[in-house]
Amino acid sequence: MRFFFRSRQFKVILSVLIALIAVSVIFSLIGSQISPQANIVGMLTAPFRSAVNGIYNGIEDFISAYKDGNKLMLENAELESEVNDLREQLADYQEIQAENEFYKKYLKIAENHPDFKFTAATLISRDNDDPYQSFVINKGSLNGVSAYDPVITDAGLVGFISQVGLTTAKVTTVLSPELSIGALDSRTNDSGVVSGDLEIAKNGKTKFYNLARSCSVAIGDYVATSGEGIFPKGLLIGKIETIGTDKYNTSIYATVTPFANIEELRQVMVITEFDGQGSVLGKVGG
Amino acid sequence: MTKSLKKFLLVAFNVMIFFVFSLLHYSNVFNFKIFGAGTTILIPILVAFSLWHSPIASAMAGMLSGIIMDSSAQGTYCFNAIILLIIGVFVSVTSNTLFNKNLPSAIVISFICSVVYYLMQWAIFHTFSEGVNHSLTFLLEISLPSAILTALFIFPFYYLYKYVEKLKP
Repeated sequence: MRFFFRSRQFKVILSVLIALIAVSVIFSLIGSQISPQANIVGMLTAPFRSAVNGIYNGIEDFISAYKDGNKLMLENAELESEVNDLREQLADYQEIQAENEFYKKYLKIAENHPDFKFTAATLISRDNDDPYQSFVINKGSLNGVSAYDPVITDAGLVGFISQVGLTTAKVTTVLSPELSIGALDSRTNDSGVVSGDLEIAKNGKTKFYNLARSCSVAIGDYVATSGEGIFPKGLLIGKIETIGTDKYNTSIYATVTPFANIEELRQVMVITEFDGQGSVLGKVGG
Repeated sequence: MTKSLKKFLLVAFNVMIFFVFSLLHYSNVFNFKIFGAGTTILIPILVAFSLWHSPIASAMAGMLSGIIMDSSAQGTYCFNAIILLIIGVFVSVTSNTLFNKNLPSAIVISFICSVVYYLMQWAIFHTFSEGVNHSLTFLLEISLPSAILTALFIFPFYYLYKYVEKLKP
């Protein structure tokens, strides 16, 4: 073994290792930027990752379409081929209709918030090791996406851009404790902070805490962003599921189920511009 | 088949294995979990590969697949590239000097590497960010079960690389 430590091979490996550690330290100090080597590799592999996800989604859609159509096929055996043709046409039509619906819903948000500028993005990979379900989208700084931009679906807030590369960006979700969002109960206007928690993130829920003991939040209330920090005001986050008191009995917290189904996401919108953006940058969350 | 063509095909095969599994690891296709414990499939692949390859080849394989992982993993800059490079070199050097190249050795090395990977990941990304209670929960409920589950994947890849080794010119 000692011959290896004296060899040229070892010196080369050690130099590469030191270079990687240096890059790692530098970029962790800068923050919010994907390291250059990961950026280049991310750019080169993005089409492959899109293809893998596209194939997976296609297979999933085919299986569900097949399951839905199975009963009909049994009842109409003599019309089998016709049904298949129609189903194919229907699948195409539904795809176009879903796409239209997707953009129509965002149009509604855009009408309500004329200051918002959107960029549509597709999810290309998921970090399966992350219990907070972070993911990567196919848009980066070349498409106008920047660090800390809010990420939404038509249903509600998904998270924010935590690291941005040239053609890809990493999204931290509302389930993560890295994110702290100033939030309001939309019925009572009670304010608090929404942030993730490992225990409840497993069930796809997040926590609305720091609520005053005198507050009147109730199960079923909607929680929305308060506009303090990196998120614009009025973005729906989720619905209150349970209410409890913290262990020191000083404040109240609620568990919130996000409206955006983070596990099933395929497409999202990044809000690249809105009024008041950038006023509180420098800290994560709001 | 000529010697050089055979060599080229083997290199292409190795590149394909690492590339495909690096991509699949961060897709819904490979979202394989048991009670919250996941797998990092590239660790057993790298261990099996490094058993029969030189330290420099193992370091390269570990580093490149780690960079692909870093481009998708949350919050990492070069973590996967660094740790997989070290694992590749460690396995290659120890398998040439300390261990025999057999299944029990492969299982032991795979287990050590998986535990080290998940402990490092936990120590760097979770100990300080989530508080004492949650980081302990993370260690016991996610990191250690994931390490054990990951180590078990050595079986198919050990036999795959043992077979590939026989094909070498």
